[in-house]
Amino acid sequence: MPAAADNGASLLDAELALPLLREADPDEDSVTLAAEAAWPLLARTGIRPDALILATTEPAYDEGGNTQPLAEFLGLAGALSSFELTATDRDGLAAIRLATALAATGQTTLVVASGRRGAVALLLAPSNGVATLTPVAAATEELRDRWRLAGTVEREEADASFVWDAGITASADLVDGPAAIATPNPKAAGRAEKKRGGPGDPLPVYLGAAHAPARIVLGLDQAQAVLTAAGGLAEAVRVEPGAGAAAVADRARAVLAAWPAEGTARAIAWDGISPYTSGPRSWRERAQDFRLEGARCGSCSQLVFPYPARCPHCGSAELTPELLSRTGTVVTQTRDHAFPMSKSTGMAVVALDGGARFYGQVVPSASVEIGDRVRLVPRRLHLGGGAVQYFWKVTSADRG
Amino acid sequence: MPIAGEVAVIGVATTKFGVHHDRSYLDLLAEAATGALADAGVSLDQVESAWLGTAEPGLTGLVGDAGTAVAEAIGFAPRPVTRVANFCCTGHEAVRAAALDVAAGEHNLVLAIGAEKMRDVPSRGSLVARTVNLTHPTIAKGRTAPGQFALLANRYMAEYGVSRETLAKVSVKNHEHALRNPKAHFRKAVTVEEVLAAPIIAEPFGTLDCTPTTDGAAALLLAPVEWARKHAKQYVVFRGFGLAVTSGYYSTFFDPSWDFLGFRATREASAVAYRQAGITNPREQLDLIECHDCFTVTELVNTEDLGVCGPGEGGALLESGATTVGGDIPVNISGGLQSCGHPVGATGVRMMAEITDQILGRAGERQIPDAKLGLAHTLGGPGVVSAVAILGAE
Repeated sequence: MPAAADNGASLLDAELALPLLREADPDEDSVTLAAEAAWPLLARTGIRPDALILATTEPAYDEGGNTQPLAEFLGLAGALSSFELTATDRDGLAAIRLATALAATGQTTLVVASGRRGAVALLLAPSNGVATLTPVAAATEELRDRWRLAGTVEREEADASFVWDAGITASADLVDGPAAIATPNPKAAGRAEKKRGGPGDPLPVYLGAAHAPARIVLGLDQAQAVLTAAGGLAEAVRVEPGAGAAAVADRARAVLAAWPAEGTARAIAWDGISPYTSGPRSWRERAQDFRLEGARCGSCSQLVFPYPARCPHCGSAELTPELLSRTGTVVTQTRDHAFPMSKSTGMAVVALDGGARFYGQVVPSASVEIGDRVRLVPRRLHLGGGAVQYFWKVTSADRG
Repeated sequence: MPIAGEVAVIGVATTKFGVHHDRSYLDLLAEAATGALADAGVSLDQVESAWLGTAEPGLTGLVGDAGTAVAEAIGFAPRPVTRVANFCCTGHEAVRAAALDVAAGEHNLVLAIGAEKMRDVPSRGSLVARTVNLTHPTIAKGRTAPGQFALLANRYMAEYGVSRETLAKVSVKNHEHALRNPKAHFRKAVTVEEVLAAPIIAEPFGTLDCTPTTDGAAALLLAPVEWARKHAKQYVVFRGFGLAVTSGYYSTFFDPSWDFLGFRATREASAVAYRQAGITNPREQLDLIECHDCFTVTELVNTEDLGVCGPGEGGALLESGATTVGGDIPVNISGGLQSCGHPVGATGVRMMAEITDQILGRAGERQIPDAKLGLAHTLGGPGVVSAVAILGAE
């Protein structure tokens, strides 16, 4: 097991999550994909990190408010320090730099870099991981590629032929020799990578802030340097694999190989409903909404969801929180053409493994039938009250 | 004293059910309430209290939100009026409360009024919009009334091998029945082909599997049987009245004990009513049933839950013709919710007015020969509330 270098961090495990379709469902966002990447990682390692860093240039909310729902989804809400990096796509590697600094103080950090095309989660600790990640260089200069002036809606873009070349030039100077290169212009990055004898990019589309971390994970079985540059900011990370690194890379490659190139999701009309919302309700029931927390009755042993005031079966107040399982079998379903958020909305009742039931929407890109094996995934449910209401939806078990 | 055997219906009235753009909630309420008094030959001064069933006052600017609507509509002040609601059993609840009022001896002549004005907003803006928008922000988003019953329909068809065509035949039968009911919202025969070809609402239901969105009101005037024997122009007697609430509006869909093949609420409510009425063989003993056919499949499972046939046999019962006019147990001779429509607060009251008219032999073209005992059933929310009233000749 490689120990953390003086200025590096030890990668315990990592996970790549991609949307169900190449073009993400309209209800997938940087938070839901981040949750899908991070959840299996935390479940597999059993580790509760000290810190959470979310890097994304496609946040659900401007000016903060994105790590909170992610922490709730992951069961990390409470004692946790969290950060969001939303400057440029460079922030995927900047998050690793920050996690490395935290590792030097003995902390374990969950880094999630995400966008609407995919997410990567990495667990970084002082030691005992499968690889060492070392931030080796960084650069900052006034080089404007895409920007939006505060208080305005329209985004400005500079002449690509100048900006991308200049950005790559800056990052190229950070390390010597072959390197994986990630920038918002994948073609220019590919040319630069080839010129330097880099490994070539296996990703068919650009993943935004998640792209450079995805390159780290997909190439984890080899020693490599990964460079990223966007908006005048650049970072470089060196990767030294150890025992177990190849298995992490293989898992990520399998996720990538299973990503369908085709398929169309149903559209969602977000303004089709004007739902009742309540701040106190959202806060009070956050564990139920984000974690599917039900209650096990101490008297009659039934697992009850939604979380009851008293056991509806026997009236007992002896209730212990218990999370529902997220896999199951369809009891019944319909496609509802009256629910006004889509031309038709799939609705399913699912007998969850472990005894409870779920009733809710089917994701826009899937259809399910009675008897189908399914799983529950985090999605945007609606935008009631001008906020994102996240919840769980049903999708086929064999997808994604 | 109990309701069963002690409380009588002495007057009934039902407005035309339909889209009444020219009439208000209070207009409909007043027509039904004064109509019931006229039917009984009783003056307004003799009535001591009233109970109002309205399920969704939010569709009418909250005018029916409280008993005040009755004071306003018919000049009832200062007598006591309370509005009650219990989903689609709201009409039954107004009657049940009035019957309890009489049975308790608190008041002598008591009005039960059900009124609902659903078409002051577009039909899509009516109950569907309220279910969509006003329900729980996470665990209920995606549900609509047709979507909830469609879940049962798909499970029911898969489990029992009942065909889509059999569901459609419920609509065909009830539309046929409504040709004889001048008060029904829709009075036009439909074919199986038309039902199957109708625009989809929630698979497998098309528009002709679903009750329309309708305005209407109905009222009953109740009195102690003792009073009725001495003073009433005509009367029928409650033989049983059961109400059962079996699960939560949200929680029932998350309850692993529900098989999506029927409704425990109906089984529990009818068991109470049957016990009170001494009914052990509903198909033999009852002369007619008005039941809650909000969607086609609902009527099939209702006949099973009411014990007219066994589980999974509702389709065969329908196909046998037993529940059609001229059959041995006519179901929804009025046209049911399928054709009358379902102004929620009015529906249960309308059903009991129908049973009363049948027992009194004044149901006109749709009169069932020698009807003596009839049952009125409603089913509320996603099948978690049910009320069953049995009315008979003295």
